[in-house]
Amino acid sequence: MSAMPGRWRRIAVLLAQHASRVLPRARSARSPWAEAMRRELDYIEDDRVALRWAIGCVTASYTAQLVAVLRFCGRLLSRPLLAAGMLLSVALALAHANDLANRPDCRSRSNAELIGDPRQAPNPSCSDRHQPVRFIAKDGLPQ
Amino acid sequence: MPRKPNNSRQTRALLATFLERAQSWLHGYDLSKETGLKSGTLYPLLMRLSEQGLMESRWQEPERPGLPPRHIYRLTSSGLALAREQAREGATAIGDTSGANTSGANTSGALA
Repeated sequence: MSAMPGRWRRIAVLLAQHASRVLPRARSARSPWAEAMRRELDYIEDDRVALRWAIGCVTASYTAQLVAVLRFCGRLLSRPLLAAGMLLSVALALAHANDLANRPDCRSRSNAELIGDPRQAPNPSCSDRHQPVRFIAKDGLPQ
Repeated sequence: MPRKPNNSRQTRALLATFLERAQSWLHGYDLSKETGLKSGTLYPLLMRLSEQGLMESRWQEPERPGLPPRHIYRLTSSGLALAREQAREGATAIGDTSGANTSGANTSGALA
């Protein structure tokens, strides 16, 4: 190995350092696995092989981090807590649906009446253009 | 059907490598070269085996000055038992396959 590290070697070292930062720590102490992966790099002579090794270390660190997060979520979302959350969601959804059903909505009601009574629909012909507008009550008699 | 733990192709290859050199401590890079596993696959496996108590690790002082200490690995007794069991299962599976092939060849020979 030359005294001056090459470009690939420098990138590999940076990646290995990143991997050791990403790897989850066991109780507040630095993970020995992070150090193990990082130090192994010094024993690899070829810079390109070292870079490939470092990329693998980053992958391993993110994999370990993902596993740790999934385990934490698994512990946090225990079955009783999940069941309670689901029940709460269903109750909220039912309450919302009930609220929507009881809410007075005048616009939609008048539209329904318009559609229901064809005499209230606009006349497409031009024959009654100058005739006064006639209002029809709900019972069908002209006012 | 629940999946059997530590039964992936990569884990089996790793355990087989450990079993070949049961009494010696191995480095991560050596394991990678012998198993053909990349570091991204190898280290999660090593971590899992270590968590399960199937493998032990320690730091080795460097042979040459200027180099950092190195992490080395070896199977525990339970790890060795698992590796032997898997090797036996593998040998049985190969035996069954070759036996089936042999009987198939005999059958075809008898038919011919």
